[in-house]
Amino acid sequence: MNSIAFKSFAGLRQSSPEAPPLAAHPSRLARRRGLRVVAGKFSPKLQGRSLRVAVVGGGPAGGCAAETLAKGGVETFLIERKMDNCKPCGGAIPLCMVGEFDLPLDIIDRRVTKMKMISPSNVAVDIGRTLKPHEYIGMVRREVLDSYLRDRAKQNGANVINGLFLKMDVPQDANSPYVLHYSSYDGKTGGVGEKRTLEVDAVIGADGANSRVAKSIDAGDYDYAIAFQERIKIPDDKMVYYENLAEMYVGDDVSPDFYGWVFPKCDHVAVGTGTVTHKGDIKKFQLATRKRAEDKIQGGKIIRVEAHPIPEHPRPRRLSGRVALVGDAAGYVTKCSGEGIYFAAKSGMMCAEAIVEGSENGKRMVEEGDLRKYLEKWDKTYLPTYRVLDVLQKVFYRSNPAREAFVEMCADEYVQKMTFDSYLYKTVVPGNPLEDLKLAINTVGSLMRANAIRKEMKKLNV
Amino acid sequence: MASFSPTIIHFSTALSPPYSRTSFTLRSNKSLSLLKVSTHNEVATSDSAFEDPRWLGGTWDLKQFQKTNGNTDWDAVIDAEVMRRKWLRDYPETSTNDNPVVFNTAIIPWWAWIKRFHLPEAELLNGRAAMIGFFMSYLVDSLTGVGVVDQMSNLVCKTLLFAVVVGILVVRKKEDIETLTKLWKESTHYDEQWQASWKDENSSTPKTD
Repeated sequence: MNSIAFKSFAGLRQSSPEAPPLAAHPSRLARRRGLRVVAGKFSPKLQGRSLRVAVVGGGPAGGCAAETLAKGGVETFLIERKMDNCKPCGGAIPLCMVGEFDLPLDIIDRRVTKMKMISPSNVAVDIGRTLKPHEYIGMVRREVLDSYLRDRAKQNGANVINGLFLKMDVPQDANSPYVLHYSSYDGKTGGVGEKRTLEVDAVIGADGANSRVAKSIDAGDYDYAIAFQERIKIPDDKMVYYENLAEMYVGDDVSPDFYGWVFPKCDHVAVGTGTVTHKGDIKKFQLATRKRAEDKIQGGKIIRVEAHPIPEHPRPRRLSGRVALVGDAAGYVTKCSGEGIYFAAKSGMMCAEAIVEGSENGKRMVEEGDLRKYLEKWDKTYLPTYRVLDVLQKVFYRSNPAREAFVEMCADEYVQKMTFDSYLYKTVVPGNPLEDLKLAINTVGSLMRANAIRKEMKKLNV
Repeated sequence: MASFSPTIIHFSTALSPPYSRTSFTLRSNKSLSLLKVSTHNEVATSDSAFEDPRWLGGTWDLKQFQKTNGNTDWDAVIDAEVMRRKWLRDYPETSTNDNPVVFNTAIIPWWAWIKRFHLPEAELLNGRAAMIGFFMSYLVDSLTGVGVVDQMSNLVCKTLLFAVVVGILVVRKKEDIETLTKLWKESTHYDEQWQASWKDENSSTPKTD
């Protein structure tokens, strides 16, 4: 499928750990063209110890990666800066995540089974009629989910370190360790931590949107959206409405390229919005979102204000040497819905699996080719999903007429079924071609009608 | 299980000193402290919500749009909806559950849309095409001596005609060319961002898929 060439076979087949890097270079360049090598299996066997891997960042990506590594027999170090970190996040996880990651059901605060989409002219459409009784979107508290995953990693043998990653010394050859510098907070109640170093053979960067690991490997930058959210405690009678319902508001007033939301949490709601292109106006958009939801959150009290960056696309380089990025650090957030938790956890798991496989359960050294397998698998499995969501965002979040058409289309049962199926199970299902054709025609019709009305609106302005 | 204490927690207190963030966060720290904690809105409002005697139960009451012969005046429905959307764009309103909006533009039949929006533009374009076509065929006749009937059976003329028709459908205004190039760039941009990981600077063959 791809024609990436890895380090030459000859340079790695050494029984002793000293690989001659200089000798390998000329043959490396000569062999670069089209030679695909399963290099890990011929890496030197580690003498008397297991492979050491550091996972920087203890969110869903880091937690799942650490657990998979530890289960696979690798000596794992999970470095997390703040153990009780209450992250600003929508907190929605798809149904498949519960099964795939064996999550206990008490982690889920609420099961959202209905959604309401509200257009710029307040046309409200209920979606969720097609959901089966056992299907739902789980709403979790990030601190609960994250600490559960970290604890599970610890139980499987990972070493959880409370520390802040500072920088990393990149080795010059294929077998020297990476030296991580971090501030350790163990046993301290506050203040600056103690500077320590850690030597590992490979690093998984799971430290989120402002990843320092990414900076250390020159991964490059990405465009990002700002998501701004207020947690509002509303009166109990109003909370009943949000029992298992989430709302999505679209419109130029709410966000020029994203949407505003009201998501129910454990005992309050999160009202927020986001934008890529007009970050400076985020306060205005938040006020507009609150205004649109005013009737339903009247009398509520803001208990917390939070904001965070959301990557819009992957970093130019997600992998360098024996360092791989996963989760938000890699930029695996989908467009259109802005979903990141599942993809973070899954990418952490996939990367860890690639390391475990490439090192034969921690017995051999890994090398870049093994980690590249994770990138291959990831792109092959999820690129269609990302592409489809990108197209949806480009078509339907473009302008107010497009959003009106979007909400009109969401009223259709076929659309609801396809949307939920692909969201809950994370597969792009082909669907019935006749229905797809009908859907395409209806979409075009909706878009044309909405644009025609906008043209008339422009005439009124003159 | 952390529960939220009923005080306002500014984002800044969640950060520990050695951790530096992007500049965006520093800006928002300052402005967060100015955020008023109230649920009364500070966006532009008019004194009254959108009201129209023909707007009943979250949709347009078609009985009030009837013409003298009993048919619905769809143009008036479209005009009314235009007014409503313009009003809401300038004075956004809250969405309520008591009076949900259920209007769907699909209730206006397809021929009403065509008659109002497509036909005038089609008339204009066809008129212009006919005028130019007549003049061009006169010009070609005077230059080459080939009459109108013979021009139509000539392959070169037919090809040119086809190219012109397709060109006009695709490019109606000068800005359309820019729009089309932008659309093309947009549609391939996201894919390029994903493939960037496979373009290692040492590798001579990037990933092909």
